Amino acid sequence: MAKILKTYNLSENIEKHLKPVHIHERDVILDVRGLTKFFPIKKGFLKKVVGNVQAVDHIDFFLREGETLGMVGESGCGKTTASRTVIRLYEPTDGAAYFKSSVLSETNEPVIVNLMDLDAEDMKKIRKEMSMIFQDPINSLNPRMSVYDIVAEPLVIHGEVNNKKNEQVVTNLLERVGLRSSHMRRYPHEFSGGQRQRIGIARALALNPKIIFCDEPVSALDVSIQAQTLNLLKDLQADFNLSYVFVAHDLSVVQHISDRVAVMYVGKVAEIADSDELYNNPLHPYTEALMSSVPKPDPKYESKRIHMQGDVADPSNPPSGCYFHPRCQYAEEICKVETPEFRELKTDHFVSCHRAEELDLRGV
Amino acid sequence: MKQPLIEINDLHVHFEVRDGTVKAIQGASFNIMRGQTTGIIGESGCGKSITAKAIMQMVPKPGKITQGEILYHYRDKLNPGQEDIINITQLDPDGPRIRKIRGGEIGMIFQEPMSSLTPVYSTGFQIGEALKLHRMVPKKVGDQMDAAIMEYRQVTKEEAREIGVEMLQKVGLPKPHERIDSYPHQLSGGQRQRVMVAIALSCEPMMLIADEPTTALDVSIEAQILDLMRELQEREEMAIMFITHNLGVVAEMAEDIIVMYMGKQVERASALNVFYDAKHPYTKALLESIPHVGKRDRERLASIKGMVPSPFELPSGCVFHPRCPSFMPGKCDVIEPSWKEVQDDHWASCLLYEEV
Repeated sequence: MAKILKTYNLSENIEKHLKPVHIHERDVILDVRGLTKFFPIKKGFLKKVVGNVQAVDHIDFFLREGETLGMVGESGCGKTTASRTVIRLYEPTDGAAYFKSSVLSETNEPVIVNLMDLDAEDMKKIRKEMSMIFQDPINSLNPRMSVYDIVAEPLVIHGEVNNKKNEQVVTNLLERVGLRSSHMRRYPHEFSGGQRQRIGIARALALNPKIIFCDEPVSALDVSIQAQTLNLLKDLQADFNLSYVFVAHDLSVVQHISDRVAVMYVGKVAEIADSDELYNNPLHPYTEALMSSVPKPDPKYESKRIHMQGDVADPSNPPSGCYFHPRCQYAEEICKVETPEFRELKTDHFVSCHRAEELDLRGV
Repeated sequence: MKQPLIEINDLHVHFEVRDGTVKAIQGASFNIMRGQTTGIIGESGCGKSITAKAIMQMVPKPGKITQGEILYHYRDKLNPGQEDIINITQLDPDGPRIRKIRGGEIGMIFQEPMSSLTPVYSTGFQIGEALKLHRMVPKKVGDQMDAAIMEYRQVTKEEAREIGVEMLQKVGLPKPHERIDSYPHQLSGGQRQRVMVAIALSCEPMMLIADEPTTALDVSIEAQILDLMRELQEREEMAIMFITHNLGVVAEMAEDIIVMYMGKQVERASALNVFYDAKHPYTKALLESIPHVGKRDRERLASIKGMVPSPFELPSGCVFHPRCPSFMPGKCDVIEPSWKEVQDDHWASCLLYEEV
């Protein structure tokens, strides 16, 4: 079945914000452009659409091979929705996600495809290269399936039905994540929270993915187990050259594991930078405020907290201009009127703030 | 200057279940001082929440306080000179005295803001419920009366509502006049937690037990709630017992820290000593296993090897010995360490500091 893949180059006449920008760089594996997901609000007998929850609103980011991109922000800012829309667990409203895929080409040479254009059949194939680790280790494992069934399920779905072979794969995977392979026939309730999360990680690794979307993988775990799990994720990354999109709300965990960090606020990316750069020299006032509220495990530290006024903006009715302006201590007239452009201010440091050039913000 | 409000002496709580006895707390002894914050840290299942529940005489069935006492130094708000000592463990869990203490004299903030509020009642009703039970206002007979013959009555519905609005304003909820009529599902997680704080503080308790009050919240809201608690503590001279597994939060809030592991207290000291001069290997390991924001090292986190043991098969000797980096064979797995003062006001239970 020779399928003609839609490959893209810059000369093609597509809308400006949907053009791939970074995917042609050598080590970039995923390039998300203008990704948008609105959830309609329906009311009345006829279920008329009366508004939209703008969960993800035209965001751009890219991911390099073997790197971890952290995503932080307050709850409801769209970080989970963004990662789920990229692998099309949600259908996007708009936008493109360019991905270098090897499973879709016949020569094994990576081709560039737009994930948002693929049909169900191709999408299923491409999900071999992308998997997910979920937040809740209790609810993300089926209690009626044994560990073997859970970890082997992705293999079965993708046509590997040889039980002997699968058993070997599962044995290797379980041992790789630090579980005993003799526990293969046990059920999830027989394991502790940290072990269950390891089962989830083994399942995510089953098909040799390139990208793993980790949705708050450690926030349900105790500190000592959290450290073990983070170390495991780092080791696996080094061994298999994995790329992670790491969604979490714990800023210190994100800094520890990420190479680059994206800060999101009400469906938009406020800032993306290398994680040291972001934590030490933030360019967006929201990043600064967020960093200042992290409690430090040091009783001598005197907190210089920036109090954000009011609550997070309502994503179904966001404020005009820059969404952060009602809570921003540096807001000016222009912030109320104009939406700031998301631009690269320094190398690899993207920010969307009108006053990013003039402000001198404090890191941690 | 420092006066104890709650004195816990050798408290044991056991749960008799089908598979055996779970010793949830084995010999906890510490004091909670007036106007001070005591932090309790430890991993899940170490007995932090059960300690809090024991203070309120609310240990869930089949749990039982098998040994020890909890002494509550009661002072009447209207007559603060006199002090009565009440042993909470002796009180009838359904009796009138403990019901006056619960919510009235000791307030509690629960872990999950999502499930601790009744979805069928409005915010105002839920604040008013506590107020009607516990808050007394003076009867107005003439203008001024002598304090000794002052009579008190319970607040009326209207007054409760007024106090409710005032409390919501204090905890920083926007538009308190509208919010008092909202139902929990109309509020966000942070707002619900602030309502919980408002309920707990509305009766002006002597002590607040905060059981993981900010675990489910975002950092920005967490910061607001912590600031609020500290502010109210300064104003009302309230004691806070702060239960958490977030070491950052406890460093910021607590003056005194108790570290618990498998139902035992392993270390107790001032916050400074715990963070800069921890004695017990478990405390050290816990501190090393957290990533520090701002201080980034590409290295791996130091994690504690192994897992928390099953509560039915507690290890012999020191309960931490199978995971301990400074395990001494022949000693730690045999001898149970005693609770010793290793430095000035710095207590730990570890054989490293004992002559055996």
